[in-house]
Formats: sequence, structure tokens, C-alpha cells
Amino acid sequence: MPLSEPEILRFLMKSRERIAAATWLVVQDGYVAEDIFQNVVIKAMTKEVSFEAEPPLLSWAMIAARREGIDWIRKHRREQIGIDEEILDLLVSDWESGATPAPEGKRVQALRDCLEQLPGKSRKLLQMRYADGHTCGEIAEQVQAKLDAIYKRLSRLHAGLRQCIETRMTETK
Amino acid sequence: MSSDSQELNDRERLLRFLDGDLSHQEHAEVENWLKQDSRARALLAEMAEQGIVVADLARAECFTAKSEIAPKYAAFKQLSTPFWLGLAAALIAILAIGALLFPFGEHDSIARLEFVSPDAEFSPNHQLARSAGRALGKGWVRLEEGRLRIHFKSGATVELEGPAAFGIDTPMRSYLDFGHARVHAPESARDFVVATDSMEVVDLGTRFELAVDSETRESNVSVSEGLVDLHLGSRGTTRVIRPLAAGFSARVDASGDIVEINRRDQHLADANPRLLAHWSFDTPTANGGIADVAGDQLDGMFSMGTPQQVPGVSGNALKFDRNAHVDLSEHAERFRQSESFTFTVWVRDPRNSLAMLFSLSGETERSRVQVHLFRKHVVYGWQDGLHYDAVSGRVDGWESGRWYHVAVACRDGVVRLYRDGELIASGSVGSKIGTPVRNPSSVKNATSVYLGKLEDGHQGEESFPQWFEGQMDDVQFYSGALDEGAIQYLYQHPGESVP
Repeated sequence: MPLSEPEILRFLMKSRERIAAATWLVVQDGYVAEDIFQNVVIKAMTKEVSFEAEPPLLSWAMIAARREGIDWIRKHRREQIGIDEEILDLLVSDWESGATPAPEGKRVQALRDCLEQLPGKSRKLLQMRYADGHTCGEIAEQVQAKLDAIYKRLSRLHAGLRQCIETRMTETK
Repeated sequence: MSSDSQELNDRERLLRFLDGDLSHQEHAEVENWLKQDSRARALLAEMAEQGIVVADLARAECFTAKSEIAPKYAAFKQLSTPFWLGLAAALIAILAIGALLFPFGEHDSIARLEFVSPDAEFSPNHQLARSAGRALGKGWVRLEEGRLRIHFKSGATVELEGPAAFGIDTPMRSYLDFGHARVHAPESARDFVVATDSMEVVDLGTRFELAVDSETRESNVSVSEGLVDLHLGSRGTTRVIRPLAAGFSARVDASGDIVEINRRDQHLADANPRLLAHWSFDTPTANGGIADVAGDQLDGMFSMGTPQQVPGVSGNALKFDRNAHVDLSEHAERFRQSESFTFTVWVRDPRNSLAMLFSLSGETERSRVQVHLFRKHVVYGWQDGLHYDAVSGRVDGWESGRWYHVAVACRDGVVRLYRDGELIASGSVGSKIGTPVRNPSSVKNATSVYLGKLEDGHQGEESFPQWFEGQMDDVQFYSGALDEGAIQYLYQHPGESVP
């Protein structure tokens, strides 16, 4: 019995962050990754693709999103360095096996809370790199800072956010 | 170094990797690290996770001012998740109303039938309508002989040639069990899928042909216009996507592996390939001169004084230590003229994980082609600006003390990689970002040619050369692509050239 449309929608929305994060690794632009996720949802709802269960639906959505991501790079970012598909496949299987915590549920909520607590400058820096898709070199130019300083600042922000997420996850257990 | 500072260094390394701010060797090392170490992948996954959540918060306007978002996306980005949920719900409602008004069933029209040849005859187990113009619903078209055309509601058309079994699933999806199909998908049917047991061919607005053998289950895809994506692998497995451009065809085996890529209507090998150079290393001179024994005098110069000879697979071989290479740069223009070429070499004990065999570069490494070994792979790579791409073939490893024959042949945009006379990979586009294969003639201002070295000047400023540590013997370079038989001959007759 194929999944019904509400079931497809519910499952895709539940897997939203995971699909969008996998897409981000291809396009490195948070907005574009989200747009691609929305396109995949619409495609799943309108192209009459049928799925017998959730795992093949997730596999289809991941592939469809990756392909749209590659398509987007072809059109907009010819100079972008691509990530080897083998690495992308390994990342997806790490999420599936639980070796890496998948971006969903409480973890994403904890990350949101941690991000909202950050000072404005730090948030802006993260937005420029991860959401707007600027390289650290472009950011260094825009904010008139040294490239190494940007790399170090972002690395520290990542480490801090991870600690914050872990603390929050422990608190909510 | 404390674990905290190690973690910060690792994160910084990944940031530089994502930004393309690493030398080619460093980039390859990070790729290898990511493939081997799940902790490294977890760090990368965190970046992706933060990327989408940061974007989400920015869109929700609680993160940053609207004006800070790029104007071209601004309106779109501000749409919240509830908006999209609402939109999707509306779509469901429309679909549901549509389903009520036009209930799906066996007689629902997904496509229409047209006879192309008068002798078209259906098999007894054909499931659908048999008359021209009749609507076709979900089910199997089983054609005994002749030709017919199926017009899908999406705008896609499929011409079937009997004997064939073709499944109609939806206006955008079909299945070829066996037989021969010609597919045209206009823009309205972009993403039209024809699936087989071992792959899905996703049409990106183009024309292609697909044939599936009923016994071997092998498929052949041939693209005549536009681009298709091949999603290789059977249903339920993790699929690998490979683009295939107009002018190319691919043979895919029953398990979803590409066996061969060909350029349509052209031959992969040249009729008269010419031996341009042969460095046998049998008699290097005391002053470091490496003679080309083929007669064109494309002699090279060993970088470390008197070359160190060791017994080779035939006569003597040359031992390369770190920093050693053969400089052929004075002949760069001769190599650059090779639109189609074959590079062959015997190698033993490649010690560094990225072992550079041959490189031809422009003034910086930003324009180059190269042949190297990377752990258990033979790789043909090319760089155009910031764009590095490669076709690689996996091997079982490099047994200590054993000589291996490695060959790369390239013609008409298709590169084929061989080890010990066996084809291990072929491709028309790179596996990293899907750019077309480039050949030496595409290298701008070719100035450097080396055996055993790539001058990888990072953005033309600093230099991070890559080396070959091991032994090489009987390196040959042909102007023109050798066929498989000729490459097997070289493997079976060490020291000889193709007669």
C-alpha cells in the first residue's frame, strides 16, 4: 500500500532538516538548500511518485535534492569546489546509522536556542558564511578582517555551539 | 596539542576545504580524512546543520534585519515554514478534489497510444488498450513486434520498438523491463523518469534512447540532445548520480555499474596513433639527461643529478625519491597539441598516498591535466580555474615489489583508465562536479610538463608540489588514443611500443 499524500508530507517535513542539511553540503547556501527542499516536497506531492514506505521516500528525496543542488551549482556557481559523492553518501549513512546525530527534533531546537543567545556579530558572521553562502575570503573582505581571523572565529563559534547543544540536550533529558 | 585545540584546527581545516582554500594535495588529504574518519564527517555535518538552521532563523526575521538578506531572494526567504506547510496542504486539497472529480482507475488517462508501424503487434499478455488514440492508464505495454509511440500527459513521448515490455506508472514515470525505447521529454516533462532494474534515467529536457537486454539485464543509454542524470543502483539501495551529456552513450550492467562510456557515432581509438615519446630509462646520462628513445628527441632532465637506476620490468627503471622528477617542460607545446592521447607507464611501490605520475600545467596549476595514483585509485584529473574534477578507477591496491602497468587514453571527450591491460573506468564527465573531460590542448599557456611531479602553486603564490615516490619504467606518450588491444599488447610486452 503506497504512502498517502499526507503521510508523504508529514514524513518529509519531519526529515526537513536532514534533507536540507545534506543539500547544504552540495550548495553551501542555507537559503538555496531550503528552497531545494521545498521543491522536493512539491515534486513529491505533484509528480505522482509513489512510495511503499518511508525509507525509499527518504532515499528518493535525498537523491532528488542532491541532483537539484548539482543542477544549481552548474547554473550559478561554476567555480564551486564539489564534495565527493562518496563523502556525501557516507554522511547520509552516518545519520541513518546514528553514528552522527541527525539534525532533527530536540537537537535542532537546542541549536536554535543556542544561536539566538549569540551576540549579534557572531550571528551575522554565521549567517554570512552558512546562510548567504559567502566564502571566508569574501567575508574577510566585507568586514575588513584578516582571513585567518575569520577561520578561527568561525571554528570557535562551531565548537561553542556544539557545547551549548550538548548542555541543552542534557538539561532536557 | 590538547584535544580542544586539535578540534579547532580540524574545524578550520574543514572550513578551508569547503572554501576551496587548500592546495590540491591538502584538498585530497581532507577528502581522504572525511572518507576514513566518521568524526571528521560529524564536524562537517554540524556545519551543514548550522547552515540550514541559521538560514531558517534569518528567514523568520528573528535573526537579522530583512534588508540584510540578498534582495533577489528576500521575498522568498521570508516565507516561513507554516507558509510552506499551508501551500503543501493546499496542494493536497487540490489533488484530493481532482481525484474526486476525475477518479483514478484502470481507465484513467496517463498517456495515449499511436502506431508508428503498421505491423505493430501486441503480446497476448498486453494489459492496456490496443487501438490508436485510446487512453492508457497504469499498466504494462507488451509489444511483440513493430513500433508504437506513447504520448504521456506530461508532454513526454516514448517510441517503443518490439519486442519490448514497458510499464506506464504516472505521467512522469515509466519502466522499461526490456526492449528499446526512444524518449523525448520537452521542458514540461523535465525530470521524466524511465526506470530499469539497475537504474533510473532522469531526463533533463532532452532526447535519449534506452535499450535493456531481456536476458543479461544490461542497459544502454544514448543521449542525442541535452542532458540526462543516471541514478545508478537498484531500487532501495543508495544510488549514485552520473550525468550523461548529448553525444555520449553508457553501458550499464545488471548491478548498476557503468561498464563503458562511448562517444556516439565516433570511435574511441584513433586509427593511427603515433608514439610521440618513449622514456625507457635504460641508459640515462651522467648529467641527468633522460633520453626519448622514440626518435622525436623529447628528452627530459632528471631533477636530482645522476638518476638512480634499478632493475626494471624491462631493462632498467628509474627510482624517484621525494623531490625527484623528470622535467619535460621545454616540450610543453608538443604535449599541449594532443587533443587525443595515451599515457602509459610501469610503476612499482608507489609510496606516497597521492603519487603524481604525469602533469601538464599552465602558468599556474589552475589550468592543468594530470595522471596520478591516489591510494587504491588510478586518477585522470583536470583543473579549469577553481574547478577540479576527475575520473578515477578503483583497483585492489599496489602489492609491494610488483610492477603494474597503468594507462590512460583520451579521445573525443572520453577518458579510459586501465591497469594491467584491463579497463577499470571510463567517463565523459568528472565524478566530482560533472564537468566534461578536458585534454592537454585545453591547458592555457602550457609551460610545465613533469613525470613524477605537479607544481601545485596555490593561487599562483605559494608552491605545494606533489611528488611520486617509487619506481617508474618505460613511460610512453602517444599522440592519439590506443584501443584496448594495443594497451593489452603493451602490458604483455614490457619495454616494447605498439607496432
